[in-house]
Amino acid sequence: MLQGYAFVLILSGIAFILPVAATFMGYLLGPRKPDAIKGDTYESGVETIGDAWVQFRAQYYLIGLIFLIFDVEVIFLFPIALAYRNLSLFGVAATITFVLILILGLLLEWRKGSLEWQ
Amino acid sequence: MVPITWYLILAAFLFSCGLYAALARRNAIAVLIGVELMLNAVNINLIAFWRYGENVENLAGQMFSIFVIAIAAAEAAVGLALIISVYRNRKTVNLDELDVLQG
Amino acid sequence: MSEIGIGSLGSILPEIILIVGGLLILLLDMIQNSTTYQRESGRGFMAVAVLFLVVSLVGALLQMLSFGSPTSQGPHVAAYLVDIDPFTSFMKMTIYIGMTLVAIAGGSYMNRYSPRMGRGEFWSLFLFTSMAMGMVVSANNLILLFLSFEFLSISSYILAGYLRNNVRSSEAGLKYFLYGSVASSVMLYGMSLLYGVSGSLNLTEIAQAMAANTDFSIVALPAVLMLMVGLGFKMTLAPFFQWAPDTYDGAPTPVTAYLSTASKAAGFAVTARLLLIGLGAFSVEWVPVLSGLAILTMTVGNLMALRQNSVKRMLAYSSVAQAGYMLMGLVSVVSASQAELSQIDLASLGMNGLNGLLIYLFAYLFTNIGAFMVVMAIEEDSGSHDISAYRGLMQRSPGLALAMLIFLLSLTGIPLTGGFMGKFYVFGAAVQHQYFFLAAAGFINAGIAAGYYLRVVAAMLYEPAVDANGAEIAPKPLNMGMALQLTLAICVLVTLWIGIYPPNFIDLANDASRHLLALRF
Repeated sequence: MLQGYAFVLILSGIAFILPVAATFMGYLLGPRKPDAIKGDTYESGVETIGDAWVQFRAQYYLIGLIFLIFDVEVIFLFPIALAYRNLSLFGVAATITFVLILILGLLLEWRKGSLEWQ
Repeated sequence: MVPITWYLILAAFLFSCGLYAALARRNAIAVLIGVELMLNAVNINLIAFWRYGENVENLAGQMFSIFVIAIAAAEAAVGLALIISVYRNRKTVNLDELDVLQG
Repeated sequence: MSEIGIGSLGSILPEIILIVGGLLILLLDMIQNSTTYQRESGRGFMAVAVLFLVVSLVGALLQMLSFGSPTSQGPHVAAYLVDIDPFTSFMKMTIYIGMTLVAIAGGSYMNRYSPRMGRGEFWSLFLFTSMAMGMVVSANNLILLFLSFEFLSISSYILAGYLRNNVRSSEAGLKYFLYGSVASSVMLYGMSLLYGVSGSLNLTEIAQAMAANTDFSIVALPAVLMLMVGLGFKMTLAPFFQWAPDTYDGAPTPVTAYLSTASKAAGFAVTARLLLIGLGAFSVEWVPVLSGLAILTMTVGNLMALRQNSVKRMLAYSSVAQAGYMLMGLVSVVSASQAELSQIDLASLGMNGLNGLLIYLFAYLFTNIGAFMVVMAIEEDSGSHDISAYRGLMQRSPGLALAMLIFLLSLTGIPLTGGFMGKFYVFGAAVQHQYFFLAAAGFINAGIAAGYYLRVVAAMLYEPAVDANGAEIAPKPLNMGMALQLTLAICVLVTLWIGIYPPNFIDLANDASRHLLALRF
């Protein structure tokens, strides 16, 4: 039944053990002399600014939502692309209508000022 | 091949997690996350039933899951918009504090 | 199965008209220049919306006439996804009439209170919602059924929370959304189970597959229970009704009017189709579930309605209770196979349960829209939903008071009103099929309900008008717009018309119900 997946289990076992072992070895063998600079957050060598827990503005989510909707609507084009060679004229017309409605939505968002950063 | 039962158990587990989150959490965003989890559990169900069904050429199950994905996105968008509008009015998204309408 | 093509679009023409109307309004909204944009009154959009609603209503009526009477031919399946039959047409007609009435009467209210620059969107969403309801009652396939069901729900969430600067409206929208999205996810899981056992998404094929293999019947009960969560949410049945009072109370009154009538009618139509066609063979499983839900719904709805002081909230709970009565019709449905067993001729059966449901839904639509429009008129005048605002209405505006009186009597189920005819058919079907317990619960509840309906009547007719502090004041006349007066007149007339037992209309409902009952297998 699941024998074929035994190697996945073994691999995940190894993948779990290796980093744990490496970290533990480092903890066991390495010298510990902490100071303020060593304990600081490492951010690509640049000095960190402010807190990591900043609150994002709701605007980000609104733009994200707009992206999400269009992103997801596009999945309807994949089945159409697969059936492209068998598509009837009606199918083409339906696809074009679908895309036109999406474009109307985009224009509406633009017109209503949802795409502008306030 | 992995038997279908495993997929169904996974889906049922995910669905239960989502339902628990939706019913037990008092934060509107957490409820929304729970709902998304439930919808994705259904997607696993649909795809598993399609793949293990008698008629693999008939893509009905796959199409259904594509529609469910789109609906989930639409629902999330509208839900977040409503949550934001409530937040602007009340400065909270805790469901216990939404008590203007009761009786 | 017919090939999907241009020709099949004819059968969903009313819905296409609504979609085009909605998109047209969005386009018109978009192409204005920025100065007129800021001062948009929304009246033009309202005119366009009403026009398109009326055109699609005419389309639905023509579709109904095209069946002829009596209908002998099978369902007109179009494009594999929708079922255009007398039942569908009846429901579409009911729903589109309701939406048109709400648009005419509540339009100016919505235009006044909508957020700036949001009026075009409201009207296009309104048309889209109507389209979704027309689609959901005709869907014959789980994909289309779920898609249009969610379309209806999602656009209703937005409309309920439409007054986004209003604390009550936005809270109503959020509560509706949270309950609705959970309920519809559970329903979707039930649908996936049905797909799993039958391997098909078409309701007729599901029924055939389930009948072919009795092992599948194990899945029937869990699937029915899960489907009933989502459908029960839409119909405001008892364990899933908590959103209803809050949402009906907080949402803009025109939105409440259609949520409690047209949207609920769509929910009942879907339930009837899903249970009778898809799961008709398992009525042993779902009849007890539904009868339990029916009794619970009417009892809870009535008991909660008794202690309300806000008339809008009282009507919200009463609408929950009414859903319980309607469900009785669905419980006592006589299916074709049952009729064969007990050798009844389905065509000659006066009360097959489903026709009671249809008559009830139709009468209730006019009654409840009318009642909510009266609530809207009072709200615009005094800004309050409290029962004290209704005191002395008889002196202030006799027409409005009499209209409300007729609506409340119809909701109570007094003879010569539409509500009585609906109750008569639904209770009759329950008694005829020996669901005495159910019928008794219904009668007791109808008695309880009279209590809170008549309280409003007493306040309107016999108590003097008071001001906010409870001091008696001289009655001042109440002004209403032409559109509101017209709608109220239509609602009153139809409520009374159904009350006098119109044979043509009853025939229409009989025809529609028989079609769905004979359709299975």
